Amino acid sequence: MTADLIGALALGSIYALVAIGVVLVYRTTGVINFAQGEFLTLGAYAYIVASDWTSSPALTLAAAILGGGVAGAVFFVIVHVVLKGRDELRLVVGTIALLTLIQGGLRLVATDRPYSAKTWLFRDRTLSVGGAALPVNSLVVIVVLVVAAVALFLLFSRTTLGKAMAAVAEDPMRAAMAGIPVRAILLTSWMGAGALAAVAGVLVSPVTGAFPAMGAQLFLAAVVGAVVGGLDSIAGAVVGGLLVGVVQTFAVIVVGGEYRDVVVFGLLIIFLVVRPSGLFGSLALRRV
Amino acid sequence: MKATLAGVAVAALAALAVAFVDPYLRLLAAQLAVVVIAVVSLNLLGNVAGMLSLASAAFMGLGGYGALIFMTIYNVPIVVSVPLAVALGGLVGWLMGLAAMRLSGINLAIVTFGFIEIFQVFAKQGGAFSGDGYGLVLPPIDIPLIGPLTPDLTAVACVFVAVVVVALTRTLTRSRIGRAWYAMKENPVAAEMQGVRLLQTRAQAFAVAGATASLAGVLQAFLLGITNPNLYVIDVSISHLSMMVVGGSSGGVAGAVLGPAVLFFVPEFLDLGRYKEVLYGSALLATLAIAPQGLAGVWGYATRAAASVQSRRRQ
Repeated sequence: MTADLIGALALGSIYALVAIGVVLVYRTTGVINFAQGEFLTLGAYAYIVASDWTSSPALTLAAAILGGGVAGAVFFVIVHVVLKGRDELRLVVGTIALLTLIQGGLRLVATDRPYSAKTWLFRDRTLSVGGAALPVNSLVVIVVLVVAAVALFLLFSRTTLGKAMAAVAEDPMRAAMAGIPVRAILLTSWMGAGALAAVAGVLVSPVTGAFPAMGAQLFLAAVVGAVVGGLDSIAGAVVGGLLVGVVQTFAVIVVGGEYRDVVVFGLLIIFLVVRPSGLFGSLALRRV
Repeated sequence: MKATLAGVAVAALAALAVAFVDPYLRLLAAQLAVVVIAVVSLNLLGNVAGMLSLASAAFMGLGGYGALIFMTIYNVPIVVSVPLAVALGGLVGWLMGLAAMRLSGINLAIVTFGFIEIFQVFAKQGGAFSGDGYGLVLPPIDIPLIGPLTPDLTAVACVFVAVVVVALTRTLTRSRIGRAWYAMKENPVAAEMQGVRLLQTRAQAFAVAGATASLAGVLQAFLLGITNPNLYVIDVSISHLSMMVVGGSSGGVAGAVLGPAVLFFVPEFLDLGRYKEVLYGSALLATLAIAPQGLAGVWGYATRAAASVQSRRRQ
């Protein structure tokens, strides 16, 4: 039971790390980035490539964060510079185009065969707590999410950068008039979204291996986590991601692993019908 | 009405032409026809009603599996099972439009994205309904008055139906209903003040699009003789989306024919199958960046420019 719960929270933490990025981008650009999962994929590949050169946990993690951050910067350039002024539908389609390009490109370069990855920081050790053997890796995932969540909380509540990001999310025009460098803030949001998902990629790649569609497979659960959390709340994304992980894990124990997407979809529909603004959504999602 | 009759006449001519070309071209034309119908469905949502769907492949699956389930498991005759399968797509589309009432038209895409994953679960875990995960096989069919359904006959029918669908869609977009969809896309608040009931209109658009994509799926299943989970994956939806955007819109349905024609034939004839994903992704991005209204938009702009030059000369 304890082991199940830890596993559920670890899975939920992965979803939450991706969901936070969905929220960061949604708050600042008003669109859902359908290629958010691809940041995770790129992070995993960057981690594996770096692992060939060095075994230092810090350097390999840095490589993944750099990979995710650069990918985020490229997305910023495409969405805010190349596609500047396009309507929302075309911006969303733009992220779908990037998704196709990244997945197709990876398929050409690295094929569909999963690359195996070494476990980050600790090798496959288990820790005995109250008689239950817990995989250390799962605990690491949860700790990483907690660290990221606390860091983001401090960023938004204590720092000027955080306040500027909130201002841009609220109203880019007025933020610009107040002297906030809006583009730099947007760039930061995209890079942050990329880096967080890339960290999730490092943590999940030892379990699933790295393959082109790995991020896309996690994306549905992550984006449902973001919707459950309210789509514009970072705390909501953390709670929503964890909730999806826990509900999915325990539902799968009952109904079987084949139906994990059905569980997630069911959760999405329930929330959309019963509580469309999510758990923490500050503004009701635009109706129709 | 006149336009629709003209459409049927054109469809009959197109079908007649396809009946006499060589079999390989006939098959290609039929496959293109199926894709055109799917893209017309996406175009109705995207370029007319302002909503984004990633579920076109799953709706095709509903049509394909639906028709074959009615025919092989419940022994319903073809003339009943095809309309039933199309209606099933319409019903599911309508429900999806209602369920997602609180999301903006664009973010509705999340629900359609989820739906395509769910459909995969059905196609793999549906037991007898999904051929134990391997898909269903088309039984031999006798059509009343015509005789056995041959692949050639199916191909000709696909082309005929596609042209009729394009003609009907053209009429629909110019009708009161289509105007309401445009109004909803351009400005939901203004549309509501004009008496367009947003929730119903949106569910209605989704129902029509769902039924249309479902029809494409029925034809595809008849054409290939099988249904298979791999035919209804997200990649297929994304290829439809690419075709819709590259074809674009200048307010009509031309883009929904142009886009598939270009993106379907280019990889086929240049043997670029391996690079399809990268090719589609690049075509999408390039279109969004350079000509956001797509090929139809460029064509519309060019014809308007030519017309204005001519009228200036006359003066």
